[in-house]
Amino acid sequence: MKTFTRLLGALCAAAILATGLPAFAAPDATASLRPAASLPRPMAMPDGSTMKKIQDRGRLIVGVSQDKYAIGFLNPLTNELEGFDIEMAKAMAKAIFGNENKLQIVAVSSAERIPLIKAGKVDMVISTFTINAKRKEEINFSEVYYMSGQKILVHKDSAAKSIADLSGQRVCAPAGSTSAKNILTANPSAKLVETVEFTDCLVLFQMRQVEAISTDDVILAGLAKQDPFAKVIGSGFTAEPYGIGMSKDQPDLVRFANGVLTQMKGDGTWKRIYDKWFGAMGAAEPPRGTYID
Amino acid sequence: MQAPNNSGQANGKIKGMMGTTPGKLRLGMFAIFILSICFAIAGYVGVSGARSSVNTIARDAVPSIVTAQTVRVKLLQMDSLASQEFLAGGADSGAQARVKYEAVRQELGEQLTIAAKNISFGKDEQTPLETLMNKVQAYNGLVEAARANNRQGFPVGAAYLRMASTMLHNEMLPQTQAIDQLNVKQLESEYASFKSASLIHIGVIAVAGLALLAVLGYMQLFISKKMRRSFNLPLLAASAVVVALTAYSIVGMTLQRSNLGAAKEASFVSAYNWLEARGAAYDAKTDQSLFLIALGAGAKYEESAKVKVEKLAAAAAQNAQGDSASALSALRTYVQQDERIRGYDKAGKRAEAVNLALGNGTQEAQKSFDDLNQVLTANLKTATSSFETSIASAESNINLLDLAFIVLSLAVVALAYFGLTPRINEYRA
Repeated sequence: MKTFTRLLGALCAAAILATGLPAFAAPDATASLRPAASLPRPMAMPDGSTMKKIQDRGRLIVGVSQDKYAIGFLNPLTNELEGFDIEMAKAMAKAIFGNENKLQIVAVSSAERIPLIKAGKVDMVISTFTINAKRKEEINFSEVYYMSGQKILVHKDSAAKSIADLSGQRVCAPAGSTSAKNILTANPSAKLVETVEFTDCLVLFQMRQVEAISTDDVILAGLAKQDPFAKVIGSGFTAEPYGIGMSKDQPDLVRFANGVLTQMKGDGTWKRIYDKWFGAMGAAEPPRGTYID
Repeated sequence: MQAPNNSGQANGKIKGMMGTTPGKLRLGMFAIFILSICFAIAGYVGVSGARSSVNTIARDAVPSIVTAQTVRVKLLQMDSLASQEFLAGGADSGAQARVKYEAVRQELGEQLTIAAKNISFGKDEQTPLETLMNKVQAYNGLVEAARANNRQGFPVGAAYLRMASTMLHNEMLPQTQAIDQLNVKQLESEYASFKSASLIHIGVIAVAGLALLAVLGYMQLFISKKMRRSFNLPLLAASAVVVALTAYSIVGMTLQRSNLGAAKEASFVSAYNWLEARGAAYDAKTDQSLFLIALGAGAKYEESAKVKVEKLAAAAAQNAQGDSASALSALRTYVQQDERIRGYDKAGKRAEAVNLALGNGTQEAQKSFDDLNQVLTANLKTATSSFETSIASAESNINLLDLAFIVLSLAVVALAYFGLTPRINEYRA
């Protein structure tokens, strides 16, 4: 009888949770402003809109990181900025002007991203910018344009399959980064080695002064492209939804950017860009946007 | 009890000699002999000490300091050229920077060989030099890795370059500083002891010369009074030799003191400052390149460049020798170009910024840097040449003077012998 009562209690609790939880769940931190049903034609931005001001200025100002291979970097062979984030920025410029080159790139470091947006020095920041609630208190984000996760880069001859296999081994990440904290959370026995930048980690890795590097998968993919004796292993042990950062004062621009992203995800542009830069990590589908009105 | 007897006998003998004219002549000759020896020793020791100080300062400490500073400048020049080549990528200016880099690397090797031959402080100097030689290999390896990655378009090349530059600043330059400081310490201590010792030596020579001259004068008067001769020519000649040698050595050693002072306190300090200025100029140029290579994350290189420019301006402004006005004017032009470069970069016009940084045109940064470097090099040459001239004068001021003291003191003894012996012999008959 006692056992029956307990079982009944547990079933009731499960039923309450199953039905009641969605009502009380925390709002989706990645939800962005819903885009309009259709995008305005290039060079025909609505009067009074932020996009019209950008159109009148003659160029879209976008902050990007320029030191992340395959994401945003200066190719010394072509002297052109290239990478996944750069192509996103070009798509935004093309949507406003019909010309992807009507773009002014401003190099930004991680710490400069929010201050530059708030100061109005850039229209957008497209720079492996993880959407989170704290940042959303200061700026607006587009819908997720890439769902990243933290993985591990090891030497090709390494037997490690995941972060759990790196106990006692030296794992590198930039000092003070979320990646560094996540390593110790996932495996407190790993020996964390901190550097200034990701590429500094790759130097230590190539000098065999660290056994692994751990950060977002796309950054690791860029590092792996620079070292044929390296490989990315494991599945992501964190979720890093990337969004385009914009000012809280320009919701129309956020809706417009979401419209462009939705179009890119739907017409195959996103997949083409992904395959070009991150295809080596395997096939991927574009992340679905979630919205608030 | 034996000693007082001997002493008493000696005193009695001297008193006996003082009582007779030949005895007084013999005692005078003995006194001249003893004082000539003292004069010779005072002169020889004083002049040798002064020469040794010139040698230590001019041929040991200063060259070691200049070598350490030159090595420092060469390292900074290599760093500057490596970053310029990196910035230029496959462009022509990159190839030119590469050729210069290799030439400077070779010059650095030669300077390190010179430094190795000029070790004066054993392990204290040898250890930093060995560390430096090993680090040069490691630095070059990192630069090669940076170059190879850059040529493949890999951003990790910039990380290798940053690491090379950091190693150069944190691990290599302190070694040159250690060698420099050892020699600066020796230079300061040697110069301080020279300054006080040279005054004492001049005083001792003057006193010994005057004492000898007094005895020679007394004997001249004694002979003149007792033997009714107006002049004893050999004694007169001996007196003239003592006067000339004393006067010449006092003037020579005073001039030498002044010339060495000019070499150390004016020329060397200027040369050191100009070397510092050149090092700061190369360092500022490296920061300019690294600022552009950092692609928007180069704020720390901008700050660092400002510090180098201030250091350069201070070194140029306080220099007594060389054309400070031209150096400061060239620096202003360079800083203007530098500001234009940063302005372009911050406005997102990176290609313009890079072209301006590498450009050799009249209104471009590489040209303004080369002009600045040319002025600094010319000023360094002026100060170095002034140092060499002052040292050569300091050496010529006392040239052969120590030998002259020995030979001429012997001559004084001989002249006194030839002047007094015939007079003593007159009493033997």
